Amino acid sequence: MFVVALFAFLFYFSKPLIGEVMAWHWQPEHGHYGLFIMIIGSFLASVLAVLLALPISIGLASFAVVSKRKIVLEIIYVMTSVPTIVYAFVAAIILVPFLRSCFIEGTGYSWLATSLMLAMLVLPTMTLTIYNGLNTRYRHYQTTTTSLGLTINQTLLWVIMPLLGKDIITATLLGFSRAIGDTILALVLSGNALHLPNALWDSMRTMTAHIVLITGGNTQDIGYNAIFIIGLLLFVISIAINSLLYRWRRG
Amino acid sequence: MARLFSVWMWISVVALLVAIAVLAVGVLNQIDVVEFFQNIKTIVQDLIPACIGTIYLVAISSAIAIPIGIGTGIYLARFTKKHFLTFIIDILAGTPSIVMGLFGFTMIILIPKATTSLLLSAICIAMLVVPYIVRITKQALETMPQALDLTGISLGMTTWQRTKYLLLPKARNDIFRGIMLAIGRAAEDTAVILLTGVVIDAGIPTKLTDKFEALPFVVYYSVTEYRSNIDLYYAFISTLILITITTLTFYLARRINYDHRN
Amino acid sequence: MRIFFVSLLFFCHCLCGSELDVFMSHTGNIDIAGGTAHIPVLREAARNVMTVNDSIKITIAGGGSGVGVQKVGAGLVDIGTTGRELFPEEKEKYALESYAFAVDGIAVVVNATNKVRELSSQQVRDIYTGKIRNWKYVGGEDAPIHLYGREDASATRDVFQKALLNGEDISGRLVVVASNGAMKSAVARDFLGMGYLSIGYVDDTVKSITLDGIVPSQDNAVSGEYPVVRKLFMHTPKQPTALSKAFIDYIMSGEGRDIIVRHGYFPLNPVCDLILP
Repeated sequence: MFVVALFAFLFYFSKPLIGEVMAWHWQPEHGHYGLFIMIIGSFLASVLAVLLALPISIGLASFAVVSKRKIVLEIIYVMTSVPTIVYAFVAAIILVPFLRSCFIEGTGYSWLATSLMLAMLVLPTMTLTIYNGLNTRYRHYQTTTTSLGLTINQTLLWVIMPLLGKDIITATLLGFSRAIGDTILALVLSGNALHLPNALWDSMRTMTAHIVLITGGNTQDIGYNAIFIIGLLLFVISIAINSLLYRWRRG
Repeated sequence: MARLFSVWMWISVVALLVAIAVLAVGVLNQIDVVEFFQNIKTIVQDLIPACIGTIYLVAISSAIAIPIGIGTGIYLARFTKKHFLTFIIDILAGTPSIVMGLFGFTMIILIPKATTSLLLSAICIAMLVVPYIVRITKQALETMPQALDLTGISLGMTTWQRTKYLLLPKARNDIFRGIMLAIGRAAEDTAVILLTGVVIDAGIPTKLTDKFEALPFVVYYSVTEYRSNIDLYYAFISTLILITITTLTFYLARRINYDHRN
Repeated sequence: MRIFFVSLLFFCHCLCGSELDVFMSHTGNIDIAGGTAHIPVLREAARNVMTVNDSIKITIAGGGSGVGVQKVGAGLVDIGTTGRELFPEEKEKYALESYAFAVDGIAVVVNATNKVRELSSQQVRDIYTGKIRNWKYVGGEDAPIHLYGREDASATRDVFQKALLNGEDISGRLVVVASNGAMKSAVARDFLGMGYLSIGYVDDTVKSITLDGIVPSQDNAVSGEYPVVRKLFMHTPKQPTALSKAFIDYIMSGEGRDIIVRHGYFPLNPVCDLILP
């Protein structure tokens, strides 16, 4: 079906370039087509985003279970319906100048800006996943623990958290796959500099932004085929994560 | 220890609320109210092609995606036991939107007559949302009470008859949910249309092969190239419209869900 | 010198000239894509045409000069625009007609509040290759330089790099933006920013730098004194559609030239092209 076709196409187009791509420099004029910088850039942005989002989503999910008020959940739900481009818009106008004034070395278009907004992007999904896990388990253990005299907090902390391993991993994987596949935020906020960021406030480039920047170029140039390699890579990563999740859910 | 945990929770909530507040206030700060309302008429007029472009895009991609999605969902839930197909749908659901855009882009290179256009974007967006519809339809049909199905069997109905007359009517709510999700997703996506056919100045598309404008792209273009506050207002209004569309559709999707469970 | 050019312009204006009436008898679409420097001019021209005859539809996309060539070569658009001559590989691969319609200089720009007003080309080179990283070395404040550049497909970038960089490698710290408009936006909003722009895009929000003592104006660009210059081109397939040809003629006409001048570029047409350097 579609998937097979997709896979086939991407594979076919990346064939010419597979060998050359494993290098550091992206300088088409010199014949370097190294994608390492972009790949690592994507990982840096996504990992930081998930690291930032995870504690907060655990905290939020717990809060949602503990408190009687539904307001936090409602806010989270609304956040899931915000388009990515809106996050990019808001960040470009507010976050970037702010970071620029904080860290004078950087232009504001930075690793930190990208990861912060990516974190906001994945936060709702991660929170909801963890919340569902917490909630179902809590309902399960509720009577037992209250009869033992434990407060909600204690229940959550000592009884349920340890059981959450699977859910936390699911949430992390979901967040990571969403973050690494995102194009707009990275394109607008990362600065698209062709080097590894030396610090949080330094600019960088992700695979996804690279695709957009390259589609403007020469079709003749073999470098063009790099977008297909990136596409293939992204596809493979998402397949890998999905398989992991699948197996996790089964188990 | 539990005390610390409490603190942690509260910090999370505060952090979230502060972040949202700061961003919201910051954006509103950028708007000079007088200037805004002075120009609002021209801005809205100029945005009409983009609005219509988005509407067309959503309409066409839904027209493609909904039948395919529901059909596949029904098929997977009722007519087959293969897990592999479901797995593939899950993969499609998880692929980044830019990969879909890339796929469309590749199509141009391979198919001689193809070009970036409304049709191509609609097809790619359809591919993006079909998995959601399939999943929801499938789940809806699978969680139907067994009793319904058994009654049907005892009456001698075939699988298709049971599906069509007994289960689908009940699943209508969920299917509607799926459609809402698809619409919201189609309206907001930027990456796919960037690669497959959206342009800055296209007027109102009259044929499927026309280039088109779209609201998310207006926002993107304004963000990267704004020269004065007025350009920002374009982005602001587009954002408002977009958020209204997505919030409405996603909210409906959720609401229907709750009602059904109750 | 100025008088000479103005009278030349007048002369050409009288000789050549087609108006919007031509479009009354046409109908159809024109799809244009390519360099971002051309967009303001083309947009206004398109608007004029579509107002006169609303059965004509003209769409304009950016993407950079690389996109322009690729798309018109592949038949995906009717007119591809570039801010440079076609590369030999492109000439070989695609059979295209090229029409130069304006001269444009590329200025180095800094934020409007920046003290620095002039630089030598060596300094620009050192800044862009990363050797100079702080404004204080070139007469500004003690603050880091925020460098901006363009994406791979950009002709603006090609011309700039060929003229000023002498083949040296560009610094990796460069923040990449995807069009002239985005470049202007970026430098206008960043106090410490520096970038390069089509002169036609320069306005009050940014300041252009005097390079080696020469002010980047379109006059200097045309006369050859300012070194970083290029022509703006439109390309079509060997057999353009009648509508495309009409549009190109319109841009080359008197009205077209007015539009070009109004947006800050220096117009060309086949006759003038022979005379100007």
